[in-house]
Amino acid sequence: MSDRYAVMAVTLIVWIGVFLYLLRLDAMVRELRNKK
Amino acid sequence: MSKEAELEGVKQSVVSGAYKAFVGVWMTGVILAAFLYSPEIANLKGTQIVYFHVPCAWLASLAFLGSGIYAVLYLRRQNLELDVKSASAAELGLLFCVLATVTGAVFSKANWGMAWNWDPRQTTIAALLLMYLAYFALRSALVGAEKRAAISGVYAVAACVVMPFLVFVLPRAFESLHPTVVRRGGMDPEIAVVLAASTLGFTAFGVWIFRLRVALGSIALSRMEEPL
Amino acid sequence: MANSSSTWADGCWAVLRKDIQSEFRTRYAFNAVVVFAITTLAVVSYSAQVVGAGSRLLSPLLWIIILFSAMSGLSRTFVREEDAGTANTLRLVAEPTAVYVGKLLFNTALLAVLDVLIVPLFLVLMDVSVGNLFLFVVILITGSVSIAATATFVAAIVSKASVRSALFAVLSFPLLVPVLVAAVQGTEASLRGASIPEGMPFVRILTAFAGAMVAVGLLLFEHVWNEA
Repeated sequence: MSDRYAVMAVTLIVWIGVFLYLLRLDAMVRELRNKK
Repeated sequence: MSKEAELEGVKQSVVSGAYKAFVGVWMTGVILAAFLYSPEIANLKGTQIVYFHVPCAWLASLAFLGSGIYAVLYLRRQNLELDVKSASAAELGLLFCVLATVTGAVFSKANWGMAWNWDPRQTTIAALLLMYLAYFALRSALVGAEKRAAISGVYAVAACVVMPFLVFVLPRAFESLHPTVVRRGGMDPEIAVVLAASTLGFTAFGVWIFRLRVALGSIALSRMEEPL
Repeated sequence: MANSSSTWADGCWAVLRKDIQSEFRTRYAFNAVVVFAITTLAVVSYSAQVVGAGSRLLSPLLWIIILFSAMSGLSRTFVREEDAGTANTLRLVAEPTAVYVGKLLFNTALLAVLDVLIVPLFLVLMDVSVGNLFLFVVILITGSVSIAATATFVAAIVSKASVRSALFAVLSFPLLVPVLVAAVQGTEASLRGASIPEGMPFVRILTAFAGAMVAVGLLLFEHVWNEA
């Protein structure tokens, strides 16, 4: 049963990581576009 | 910048910020629901992966379609921005296709002992994967932006035409290990809801990534670098 | 002045005749295709375990031979034009669709000749008895036409790129997955004597595919042909 929670925790962490990374990319693209 | 343009810019940032926040919160909710709310499906193990696997497969097909549509648009209008969109869609499609294939194999191994058994649905996703890879192999073998755009665009359209055969015809014509719950529509409401929510969230997420990729590609294009 | 439809048909016929005559002289594609098929057949039938094996094993074997023979020869019709420098002349003299159909007919004829040579040989060497001969032949025809149509289309694409022969197979194979699955299953059914209604799904798939591929080729060929 606790297996399930462990997997869930990992999934959440991975998701948050991906999300934050994309926010970073988004900001970088914005910067590039404004520099143009 | 003029007052109106500044206001417009702020409005856009707010909208796009809200969109991303929505995606973040929504998908977090989906993950929680998948593990805490949804019941197990039909005595299978590790069914939470379904909420990831199905949207990936869906997005892979959608991206394919998008790539083909942008390819047709390019062939008609000869605007390289459209080619950037077509190739970006294909890139995303490739990513989701790999994810779908791998999660499918993991699920198959856990439940039926074999990671790969050439079941019709697995054959379909493998063929899609090969099509994506072939598309990029073709792109890298073509020199010149317009030529690359036109010729790879033609292949993208052909692949789109073959896709219905793979996705719809094959699985129906032959026996499959793939859970037939979806086919018969006899899904528990809890499962259906979370699955739909996940698909929606994934699509929104995918659109966001797509636009980012296109933006990068456009910038590269405008600097006369080779975008894809 | 001849009206446009007779000019189109003339162009088509002229391209076909030219390719056939050229083939007669050099036997460029024909050799590649036939030598490959006979060699493979010989090597495979040399192994005693394969001869007399059931339809489940021999059916895919037959289509592997046909497919790979096609892959080794069907790209020549376009590649030859580009290499010999005659492509530009052809562009001036005939309409794109006429060129396409002419080449398509050539490749279909080539594959038909291969089938006529190899299939009886295969049946004899492998000691196979055909349950439903009519179904067997129909599957063979529809499958071969599907392969020829796809190969012609991809050959046109590949003639514009750099790494031809490898790319030809890489691009063709994913598109041909539905054809292979349907043809192998259909042939297997026909070998073990299935009735015609049983085999109809496969015939339908193959016919639909062939039609779709020809249509796609006709619509898109121009974009490939006119790219310098």
